[in-house]
Amino acid sequence: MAAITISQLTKVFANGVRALRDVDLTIADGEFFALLGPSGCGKTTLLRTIAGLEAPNAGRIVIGERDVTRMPPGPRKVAMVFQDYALYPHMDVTDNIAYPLKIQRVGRAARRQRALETGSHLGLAGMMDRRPAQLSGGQQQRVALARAVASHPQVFLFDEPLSNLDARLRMEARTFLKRLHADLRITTVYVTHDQSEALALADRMAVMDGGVIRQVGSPVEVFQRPANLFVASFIGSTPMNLLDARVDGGLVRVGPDAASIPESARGLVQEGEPVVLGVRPEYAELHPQRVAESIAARVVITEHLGTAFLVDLETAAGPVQVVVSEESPPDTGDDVFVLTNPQRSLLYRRDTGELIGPASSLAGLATAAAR
Amino acid sequence: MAEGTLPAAPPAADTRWLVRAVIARVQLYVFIALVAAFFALPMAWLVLSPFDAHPTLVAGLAHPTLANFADMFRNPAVRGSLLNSVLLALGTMVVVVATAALAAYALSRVHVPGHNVILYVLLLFSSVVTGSAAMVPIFLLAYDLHIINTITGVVLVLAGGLLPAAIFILKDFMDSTPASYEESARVFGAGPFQILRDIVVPLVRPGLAVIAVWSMVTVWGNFLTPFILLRDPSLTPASVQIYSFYSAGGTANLRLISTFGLLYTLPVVVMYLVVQNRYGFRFYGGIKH
Amino acid sequence: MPPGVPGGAASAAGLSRRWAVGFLTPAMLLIGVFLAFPAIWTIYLGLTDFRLLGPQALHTKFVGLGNYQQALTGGDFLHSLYITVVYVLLSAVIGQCVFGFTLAWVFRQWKGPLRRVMESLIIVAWIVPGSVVAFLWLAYLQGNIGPLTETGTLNTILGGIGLNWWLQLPMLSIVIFNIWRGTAFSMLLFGAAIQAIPPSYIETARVAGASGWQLIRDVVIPRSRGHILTNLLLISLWTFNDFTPFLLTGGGPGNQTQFLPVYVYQQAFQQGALGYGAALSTLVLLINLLIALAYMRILKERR
Repeated sequence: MAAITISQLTKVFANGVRALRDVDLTIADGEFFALLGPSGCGKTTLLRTIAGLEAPNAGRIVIGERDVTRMPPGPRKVAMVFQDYALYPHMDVTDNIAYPLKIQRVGRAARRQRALETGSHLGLAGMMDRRPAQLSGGQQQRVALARAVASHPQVFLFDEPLSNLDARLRMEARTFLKRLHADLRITTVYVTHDQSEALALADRMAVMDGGVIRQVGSPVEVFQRPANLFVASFIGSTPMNLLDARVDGGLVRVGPDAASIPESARGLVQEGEPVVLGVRPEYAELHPQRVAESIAARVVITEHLGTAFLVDLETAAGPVQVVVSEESPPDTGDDVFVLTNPQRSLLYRRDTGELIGPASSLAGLATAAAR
Repeated sequence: MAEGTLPAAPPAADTRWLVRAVIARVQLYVFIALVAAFFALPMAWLVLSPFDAHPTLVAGLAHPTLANFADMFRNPAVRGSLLNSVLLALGTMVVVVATAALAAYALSRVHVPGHNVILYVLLLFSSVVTGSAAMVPIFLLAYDLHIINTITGVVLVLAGGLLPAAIFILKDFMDSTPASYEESARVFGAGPFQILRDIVVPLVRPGLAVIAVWSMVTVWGNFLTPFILLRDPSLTPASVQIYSFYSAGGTANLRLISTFGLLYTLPVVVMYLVVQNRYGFRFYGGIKH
Repeated sequence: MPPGVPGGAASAAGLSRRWAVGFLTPAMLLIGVFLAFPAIWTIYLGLTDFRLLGPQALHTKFVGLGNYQQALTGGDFLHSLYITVVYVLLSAVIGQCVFGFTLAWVFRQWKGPLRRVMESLIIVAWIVPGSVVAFLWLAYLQGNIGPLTETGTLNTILGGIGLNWWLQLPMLSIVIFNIWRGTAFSMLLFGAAIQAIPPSYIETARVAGASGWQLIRDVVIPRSRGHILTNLLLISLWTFNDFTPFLLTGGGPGNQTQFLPVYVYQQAFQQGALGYGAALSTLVLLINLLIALAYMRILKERR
């Protein structure tokens, strides 16, 4: 088991694409760390560079006490689970799980024994002599996990391991992974483009974009206090409303209306400063009459989300979405007023896109202090 | 409609259509019968004569016997030439499969700038530089390298000609196996030869089988290269031996030629059928020659 | 090569450039020595009067373009070239290609064991070793004159109108032989091409009322153009370089079937004129190259 320290890591591909730019990152021993970002953001390249499948152009990678930057993959003692699992179709489950041990020159009897133990532990006991083609997607995924576990690595590297499963199996596998990590406490780096996976599984996570890490933090921090406009627009099942605004006499002016300044930004902005007001659809209320510091809007359409309604609104400052409880959906065409929650809303500087105020919420700070 | 009842006065147009359809059918069957005869008749002699005690040039089976086979195996030239053919076919197959697999793997997995063009040029080369076109320089090259009149010489020359197509076909197979198989083995610490042995070779086994069978069949039937490069009768393979049986002066020994011919032909047909059944027939630019 | 990475960028399998070069070397060496080098060396050899035996075997002289002058003005070479081209056109470009297409078209919707038997029969003709089929056809077409004093199967069937095919009609015999021998490849290739045409194309044309011939002309041939050109390239090259005529007729009677490969062999190995033979080899290589490049060019334009 080992911590991972990455410093100044840069990777430029032969075709000139800069996949990683001066990435600095520390992953603690035993931590479940998620790398999240849109496709092409460099998250997979970062994972493959940690594995040793890509050679960085500059920078350092340290796993445990060892500088592995120039080391081939084998001696790094990492195990990787691929998106397509990479189970060898010509080997049965036992041989697949035992293959890393064969490379480590573990004797045949011993490695079959360990494969069987690991396989049983992961619920594969009855299918040890099947070929991968005879297994379901979920079972294949578990064989790939078992193979990684059996090799006793210092670090697990997961490259979107759940993306080939259907929705129901994905939930199961997610719980399974979480339990496995709780059992083994092996440092885990987990690449995904699915934010719900990252939020559900990770102790901490990094959001990447364009080869750069845009924010590192716990899922709660990243969700509640996105550090910049990119993360703000990327995280959240319904995207955050981002409204161009201007600081005006203790309020933020949005078009002809105004909203109160988010608490975390108070005292940190200057009069007249151009800002962006960020309000999650879940953290705003709709009122049928004008209330103080609310934004006038007209209902364009409402969508039923099951336990709530998503209301699409048109304001003078642009479209806004608000989630309301299932009891009181407004009708299309209604004139309503949007009231933001100053404890939950956020303010960004319009020129830099950076969050105004502390990067961690109070909850986030509390978690960090407990560590 | 019950059997025997006539259809109730069908419109005239329908009858014409029916007649035309019947004529088309008959034409089709006559055509197929002619095609069958065209292809089967020359072959009939090879299938029948080995089992006839007194074969003539006409295909037939007047005096059935199996004695021809016993007689043939007593002929030292037959035994020796078949053994030489086996050596040539196996030797060339081993060289082609081993070197083509290594080369195809390298080309498939390491990005060499313009490797497709290189491969294409090699393929062009192998279809242009045929045995017939290059018989003179190949003979002189073998002579200067002191591999004339040796099985090794023929093996190397034939392997050189077969390799471009073999590499091309195998690269296709290797390109279609996902890179994550090898990457995964690499993360576990496997080296290049280990990966080749444990992962790549088992995965492309069908491709290797295709190359192996194709090279053996091609070499087994090849006449010109051993004919030019081997002068010592004890090294002659079956393809050249059978020619000398019927091109030499005097009366041709039809019992020997037919029996030997059948025995020499069978392995090729059997190998073809095995490949056909296991892998189906696939095309790779000039698989036969 | 990225800085600081020993051995260059590693590939998926961890193959560094150095490993890759090592893996490529044996094959490239074999190809270089036994395929590429002879093709280039023959250009030099063709400029000499190298002979297998006699004084020139010891003291080879440089004769410049003398061999080429001899080839292009002597008549024998031009005769061989002419009949070889006729042979390729009749037996491969017209015979195998048209016959192969016809068979593929007739067989296309015909399932069942009989079709498999027919196809196997045609394919066996293609894969039986050349020195065996040569004798089969010598026997099959044998007339009652010549070293084999009996009559072959075909003349026995034809009865009274039997001919001594190999002596009286050697060119026609050898063309028919080559159609018999090589049609399988065209049939299989066109079979695959026809299979690859989406059924909706053919059905659309049928619904529009196209006849069989219109269907072939308007749908099948345009869709199979790549296959047709590939087929023509390969069977032309193979037939042009086919050495089986030597086994059948040895070039005779006279020089009626003295196709280029046979002529080269006779000049180089029977007459011992290796220098002249090398010059002829160069010419054959050039013609092969021209055929290959011409077809490739057409292929590229059509795409």
